[in-house]
Amino acid sequence: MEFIGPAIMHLFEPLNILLMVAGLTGGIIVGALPGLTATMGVALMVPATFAMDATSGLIMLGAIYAGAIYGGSNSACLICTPGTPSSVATTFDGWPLCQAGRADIGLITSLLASVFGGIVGTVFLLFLAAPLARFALQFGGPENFWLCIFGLSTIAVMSSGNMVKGLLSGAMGLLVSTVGIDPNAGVPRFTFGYYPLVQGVEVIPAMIGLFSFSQVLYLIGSYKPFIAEYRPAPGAFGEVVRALAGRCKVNLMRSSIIGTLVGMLPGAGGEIASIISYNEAKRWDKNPERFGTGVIEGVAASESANNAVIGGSLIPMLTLGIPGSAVAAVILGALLAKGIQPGFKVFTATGDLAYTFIMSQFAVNLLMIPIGLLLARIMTKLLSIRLTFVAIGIVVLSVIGSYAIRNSMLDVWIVIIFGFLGYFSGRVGLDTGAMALGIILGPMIEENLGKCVHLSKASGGSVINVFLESPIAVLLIVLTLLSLATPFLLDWKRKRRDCGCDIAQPKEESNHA
Amino acid sequence: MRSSVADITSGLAVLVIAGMFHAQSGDLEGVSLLFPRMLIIFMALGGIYLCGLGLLKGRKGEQAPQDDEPVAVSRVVMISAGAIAYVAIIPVLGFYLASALYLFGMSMVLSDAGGSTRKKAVASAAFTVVLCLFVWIGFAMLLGVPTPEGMLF
Amino acid sequence: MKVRFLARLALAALLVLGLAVAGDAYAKYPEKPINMIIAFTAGGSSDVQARIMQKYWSKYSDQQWVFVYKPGAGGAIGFGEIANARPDGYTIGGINVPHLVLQPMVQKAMFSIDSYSYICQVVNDPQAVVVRNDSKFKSVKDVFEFAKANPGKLKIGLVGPNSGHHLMFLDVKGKFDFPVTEVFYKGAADQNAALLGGEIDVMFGNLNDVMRSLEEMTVLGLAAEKRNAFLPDVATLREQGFDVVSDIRRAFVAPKGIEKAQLDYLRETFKKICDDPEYVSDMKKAGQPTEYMDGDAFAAYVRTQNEFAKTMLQKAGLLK
Repeated sequence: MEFIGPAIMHLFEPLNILLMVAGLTGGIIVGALPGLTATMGVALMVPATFAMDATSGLIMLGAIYAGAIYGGSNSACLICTPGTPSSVATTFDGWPLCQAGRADIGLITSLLASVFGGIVGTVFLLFLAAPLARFALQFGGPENFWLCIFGLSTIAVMSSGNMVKGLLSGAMGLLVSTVGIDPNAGVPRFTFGYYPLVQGVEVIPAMIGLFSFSQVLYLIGSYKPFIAEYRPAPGAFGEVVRALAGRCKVNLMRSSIIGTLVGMLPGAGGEIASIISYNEAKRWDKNPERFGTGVIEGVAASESANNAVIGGSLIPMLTLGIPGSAVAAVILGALLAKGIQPGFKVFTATGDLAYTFIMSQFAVNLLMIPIGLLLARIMTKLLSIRLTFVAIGIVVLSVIGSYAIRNSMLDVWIVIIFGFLGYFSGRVGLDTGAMALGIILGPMIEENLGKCVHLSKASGGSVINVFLESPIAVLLIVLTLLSLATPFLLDWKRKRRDCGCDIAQPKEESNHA
Repeated sequence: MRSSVADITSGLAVLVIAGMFHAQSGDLEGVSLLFPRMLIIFMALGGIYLCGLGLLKGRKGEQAPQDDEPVAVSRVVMISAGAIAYVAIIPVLGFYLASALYLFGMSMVLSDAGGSTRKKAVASAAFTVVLCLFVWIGFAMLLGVPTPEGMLF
Repeated sequence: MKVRFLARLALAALLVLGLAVAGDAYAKYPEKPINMIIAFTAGGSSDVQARIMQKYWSKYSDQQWVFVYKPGAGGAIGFGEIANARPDGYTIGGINVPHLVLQPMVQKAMFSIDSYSYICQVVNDPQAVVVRNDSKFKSVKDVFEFAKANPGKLKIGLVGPNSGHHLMFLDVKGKFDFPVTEVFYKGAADQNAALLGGEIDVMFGNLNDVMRSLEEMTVLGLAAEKRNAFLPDVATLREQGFDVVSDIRRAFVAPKGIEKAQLDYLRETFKKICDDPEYVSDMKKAGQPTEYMDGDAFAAYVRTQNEFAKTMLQKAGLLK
C-alpha cells in the first residue's frame, strides 16, 4: 500500500501526462473509426514502448485501451456502426437517439457511463485483484460453455417480438463460425474449396460488414441528405448527469460489475459483457419495451460494462500472466518483452510499476471527460457532412480497417459479403445482432463442449456429470433457463400493467436498425 | 415489404444457407460434424416453419403493409457494384489508386447536391484528396499499417 | 511556356530514373526494409522473440524489419505466406517445428518442409511435465504410477491437437503405460488457467509458457537432452528413467529460391545476433530459452522430425 503515494507522484511527470493525453486521444479516434479496433490500436503502438521505460509504456497502452473502448460508442451512436465490437449493444439505443436529433444525449451518456465503468473496473483491480483472479480460474470447460449459452440465450430476450427469426439468425452466426479449422479435431471444415477460408471467418470483418457496410447501403438507399438532424439542446450535459445519478444508479452499478466479472474471464470480452448487461438492464427495468427506442438506460448499460471489462481483464493478466481479453494479451506481450514477470509478485517486486499503472487508469478515466467531450463535439460535425460522402468514406475505411487485422484480402471480401447479408437481413427481419453474437460465441461453445466431452472420460462417461459437478455451471444453467423464460415474463408483466385487459396482445415485429 | 413476404424470403434464405453448408459437410465425421449438423437441422426446420408461416399469413388476406421508407434502389445498386469493383481491383492497382478511383467515381455518380458537373467534379476531387491523405497520414505514417499492394503499384 | 516546363520536368525525371537504375548495380543487400512475417498474433511468444531480435538486427544492418502479422490456423497461414512469397531476399519469416512438419500432413497446407531455405534456429523450448504447487505428485514417477493405478482418472492438459504437446503425448503413450484422460486447449494461456483452476491435474507445457506463471507451478521434469539454465534443479525425463525428448523449435527461414549471397548474409547476421551477449541476456529476461543451430543442420533436423511425426501419427491412426 505504501506504493500508492509514489505512484500518484509519478503520474505528474510530464512524459506520463503527455502519454496519457496522447494515448487517450489516439485511442478514442482509433476506437471511433469503424474498422479499427482497440486490439489493433494497442498492438500497433507496442513497438513504440520499446524505446521508453516499462512504466511509461504501460501507461500509454492503458490509455489507448480505455480510449478505444469508449471511442467505439461515438460511431455506434452517430452512424449505427460499432467502432469496436464492444459497442454493438450501444447501437441499439444510441442510434435511435441520434435519429431523433438527440445525438448529444447519446454521446454524453456513453462518455459518462464509460468513465464510471472504467473506474469501477479499476477499483476492483486495485483492491480485489488476488481473490478475483483465483475466482476467475474456476472457470473451465463446463463453466465457459454455459456462460456462452447464457450469452446466446439473451437473443431470446433481444428479439422478444420474433423469437424464431432471432434464434435462426443466431444459428446462422454459429454456423458461419464453424468455417475453418475445427477446434476439437484440428480438421479443416467448410472451406468450399477455397484454401484461405481455413483461417475461418474473423469476427471483426464480419461485424464491420454486418454493421458498417450494410448501414452504408441502408443510408444510401434512403433519400436522406444527411445522416440525421442534430438539434443540440443546451443543458444536455446536466440532463444526462441527473438521469445517470438518479434513475440509472442501479443499472450503472450492475452493468459495471457484470463488465468487470466478464472481463476477468479469459476468452470473454467486451462484446459479450455489453450485450449481457444490456439485456439484464432491459429485464429488470419497469418498462422494458422502451429499450431500443432510444433510452439513456440502454446506452449506459452497454458502455459502462464494456469499459469495466478493461479493469477486469487486467486482473488475471497482472496476477497470473493469463490475459482476460485480446488487448490484455497484447499488453502482456509488451510487458514480457521488457522482462517484467506477471504474478502476485508484480505488486511487490515491481510494485512501483503496477501501482503507477493502476493509478494511471484512474487518471485516464477522469481525463476522458474533457477530452471525450471535445472529440465528441468534433465528431458531431460528421452529421453536417452530406450523407453520400460519409457513406463512401466509411467503405474505404472499412476496407483498410479490415485489411489491417491480418493483412488478408479475404477479410475485405468478408466485409462485402456480410454487408450484403446484413442489409438483406435488415429488410426481411433477421437479426444482425444475433448473428454477430453467434459468430463470436460459436468457437468458444464448440471448444468448451469438446473439453467437457474429454473431461467426461475421467468422471465416468457422461457429460451431464461434468456439468453438474460444478456449482458455477449449475448456476449458469439456471440463469440460462430464466433468460429463456424472460420473453414470456415480459409479456406477462406488460399485460398485468395494462390493467388486466383480457384481449391477447398481437405479437409485434421488432426490427433492429 | 409485407410481413408474409418477409417471412417467406427469410425462410428461403435460411434454407439456402443450411443447404450450402450441408453440401459441404461430406467428408466430415464424428466430433467435427456434431455441432454443425445440429445447427443445419435447426435451421432447416426453422426455415420451413418461416416459409409456412409466411404462406399462411399471405393466404389469410391483406394485412396493413409495412410502413417502409422508400428505397432508392438504383443508388444502392450503384454503390454495391462500385464497392465490389473497388475491392476486386485493389490487388491490381494497389490500395491508394483504387481508393482514389472509387472515391472520385462514387462521389460523382451519387452526389445529390445538384449543381453543374464541374462543381460536382471539384467537390468529388477535393473529397478524394482529403480522405486519401487522411488514410495515408493516419494509417501508413502514424500507425504503420501496411496497405494492400497491387501488381502495378 | 508550358511545353518547355513539361520538357524540363521529363528530363529531370529521366535523369533520376537513370541514376536509380545505375545505383541499383552498385546496391548491396539489403537496400530496403525486409518484411518479417510472423505467423501468430502480436504480443505472443513468437512476436516477443522476433522483437528482441529486431533490436539487435539494427546493430548489424542499417535496414529495418517490417513486421507483417499473418496469424491463423495455428501458424499455417503465415507459414504458407512465407513459402509463397517472392524469393527476392526481402521477405523472411519465423517458423515453428513441429507445427511446420505436422500441418502439411494433417491440414492440406499450402507449404511443405521443402518450401524453405533455412536461415537458423534461435529457440529450443522443451516440453515440461508440470503440476500445481500444492499437487500430491512430487515426481514424474508419481504421475505415471497414479495413472497406472487409476486408469482414466488422471486429467492431462495439452495444447492441440496436432501440436508438439500432442506428439509428445503420443510418444509417451507409445513407450509407457499411461492411461489418462487428455484434454486439448487452444493455447498456452488457457492451458495454464486450466491447471491453476484445477480442471486438469497435470500438463505437458512449454518451458517458455510455464515461465509466465512459474510461482504457481512446479516443474517435475523436462523433456530435453540436458538440463536447462532457467531451471537448473529440474531433472530431465531421461534422468528420471523416461526416455522422452520433445520440444518446440523456433527458426527463421526465407522462401526457397533465394540467392545464395543473400542467404549467406542473412545467416551471418543472424549468427552475430545470436552470439551477442546482450541479446542472450534479453532473451533470458523474457524467459525464452535460446539455442542456436545453423541453417543446414536445422534443415536436417526438420527432416528427421518429419519422419518421426509421420510414424507417430500413423501409429495413432491419425493419418488417413
